[in-house]
Amino acid sequence: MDEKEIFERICKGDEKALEILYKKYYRMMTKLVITNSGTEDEARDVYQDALIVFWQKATSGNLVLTSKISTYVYSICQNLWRKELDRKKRLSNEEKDTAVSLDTDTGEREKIIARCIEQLGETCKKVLMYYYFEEMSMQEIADKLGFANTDTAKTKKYKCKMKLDELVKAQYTEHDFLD
Amino acid sequence: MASERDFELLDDYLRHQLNEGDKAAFEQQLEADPTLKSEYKIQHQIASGLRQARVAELKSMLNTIPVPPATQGTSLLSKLGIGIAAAVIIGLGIYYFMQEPETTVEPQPVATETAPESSTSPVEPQHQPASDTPATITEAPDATNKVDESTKTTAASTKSTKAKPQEKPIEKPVIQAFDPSEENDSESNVVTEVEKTEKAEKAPNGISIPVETIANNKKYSFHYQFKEGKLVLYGSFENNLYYIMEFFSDNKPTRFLFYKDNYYLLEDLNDKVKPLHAINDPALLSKLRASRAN
Repeated sequence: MDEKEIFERICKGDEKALEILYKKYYRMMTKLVITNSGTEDEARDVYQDALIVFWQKATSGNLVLTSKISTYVYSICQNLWRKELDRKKRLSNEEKDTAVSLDTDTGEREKIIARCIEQLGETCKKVLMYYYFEEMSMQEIADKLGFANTDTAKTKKYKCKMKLDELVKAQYTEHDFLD
Repeated sequence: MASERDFELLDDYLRHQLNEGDKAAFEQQLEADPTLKSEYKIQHQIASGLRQARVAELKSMLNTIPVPPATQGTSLLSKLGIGIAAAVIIGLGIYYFMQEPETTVEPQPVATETAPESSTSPVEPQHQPASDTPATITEAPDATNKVDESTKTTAASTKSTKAKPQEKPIEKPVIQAFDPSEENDSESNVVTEVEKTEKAEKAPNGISIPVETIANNKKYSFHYQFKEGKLVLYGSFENNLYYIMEFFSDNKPTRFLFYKDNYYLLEDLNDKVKPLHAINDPALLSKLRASRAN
């Protein structure tokens, strides 16, 4: 499978193509982090994050590739690792106390939402994830999940979103997170 | 109060689907409508939560994919492996180096045994013609493969004096090649004898036994006889006009008489008087002539 084919398949949300790409550049990308004072776990994390950024941009149709995939992903890895090194530097300073207090509410809200998402059925989760992360159109979601048409996809998305909203708002009310 | 249309715009805004103009207009509306802004905050958190969940799902999927070892780990392992391999090679090298004085003594006999084998075979073609025994070549049709081997080994024996272990198998075929005493009647053997005995004949002056001529015997006019260690010729032989040729094979003499352009075989038949008959065999005659000419 050549680069063009991989890219086309990734744009359509083909996870198998992502798997091939992941294996293809694993050593090259992780080496970047490892040779810049990163651990193997950090290198894998950075590479996975970079590849997911690439995946998200490609599936959402917001990427016009003007270079090789590896060049693009490599540049994302570089940026992510620089950010991570900056974060580590900042954490070594005394600023971290205030940051932790600010993150407490945000972290709690994230946990509530994660729990609510888990309460959804698999199809609902997929529909909403494809809609908000991959930013797929209703036609693409219908194709991917085997719905009859876009209307079915729209209805499914509406119902799933309503359910998630209800679950989240109920939890927010309990935790007094609603303004 | 936020309308249904506002929620649709909010959804598009969260999904980055609005163009720059619509995006700016919606942001202004958000600032102006607290209810819409409150809803936006919740929807923004939900959308972020869904994205994080999807990222976690994708990362979980990627973690199940078998991948080659990370570069640093590999390089360290490979370096370690190379180091161990190098240590083993150096260790073996030192071991064999230390062992060398002892081991070189032991293989010496082996080397002397094997070296000639390898050296003789390529030498064969060169030394076969160089053999000083053409008799072995003339006998080649009689003896088949064994003769071939003998010629090869004789060549080897003449060449390599170092190859002591091979001298025994060489000598045996040589003996076979030079054992024609039981086949005196065949021409080829006669030839070999002639060539061999030429050297022996040249050493003494004349023949090994005395010759007596009896011209006036009534009964034997052209006969011969070996009697009491001498050759007796009966007939009108004139002094010095006959010629006795004597050949030796295994110390057994074979003699011929040359008289008036003819050759006669003189067989030792225990004192019996035999008539002289001229030899007619052209091949034998030519050999005898050649021998006499020398």
